[in-house]
Amino acid sequence: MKKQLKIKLLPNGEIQMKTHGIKGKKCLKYAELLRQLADADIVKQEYTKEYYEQEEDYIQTNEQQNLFEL
Amino acid sequence: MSIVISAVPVLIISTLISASVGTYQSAKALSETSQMIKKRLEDNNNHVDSDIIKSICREYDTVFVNKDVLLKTLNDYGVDDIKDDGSRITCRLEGFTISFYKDIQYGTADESGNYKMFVKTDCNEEELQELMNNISEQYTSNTQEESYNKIKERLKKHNLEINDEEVLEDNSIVLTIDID
Repeated sequence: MKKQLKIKLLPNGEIQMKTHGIKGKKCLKYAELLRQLADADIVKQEYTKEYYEQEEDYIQTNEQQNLFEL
Repeated sequence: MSIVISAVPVLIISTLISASVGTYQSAKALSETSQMIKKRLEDNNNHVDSDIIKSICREYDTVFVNKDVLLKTLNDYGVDDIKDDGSRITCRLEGFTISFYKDIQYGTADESGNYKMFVKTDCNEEELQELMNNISEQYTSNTQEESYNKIKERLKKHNLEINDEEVLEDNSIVLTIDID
């Protein structure tokens, strides 16, 4: 899945950002990026299910190791 | 009679004088009052106590946080004679004399960092509310525009660029940025 940031600028001045395709805690660094881009304070942070997922290549690596051990 | 005191909004000076003068008639009495006011201001480093401000003006909360955006908004609205004194902005707008303060030292700043607005107590509340609604709307629109320009410019410094832009029905702008 393509990794993307979607930044939404609302008419009331608020800014919302959502990460797509970025799994695990890596997405958190983009909160800091938004802070720098917009001189904004983060007022709310929610975790989607991707935050609790792991990168696919990491999972594959683990499975290959298990195969070799067998 | 004229008094020139630096770094104090015109509104406050004229209001203080009129509030203090009352029924004084003589030039001498006026002169004594103006000297008293001058002395009080000088003692207070040319700043007016927040309790004085609050006693002669009505205080309102605002959505205004960013000074540059607020000044741009007032200019867009055609406001004349804007006086910018650091943490205080004073202007005349549609018959109202308005002061915006963001000055924690004098108790006139919102905890969240928003400007507080002060208007003379004899103003028409309904007209003022309508005016502020219009200005607030313009302010938030200007905030959106400034955020857009800032983000677009700063993405370049991070070697990122906007791959897609979309304006939604509610006038929100959605920027899509691909991450390698």
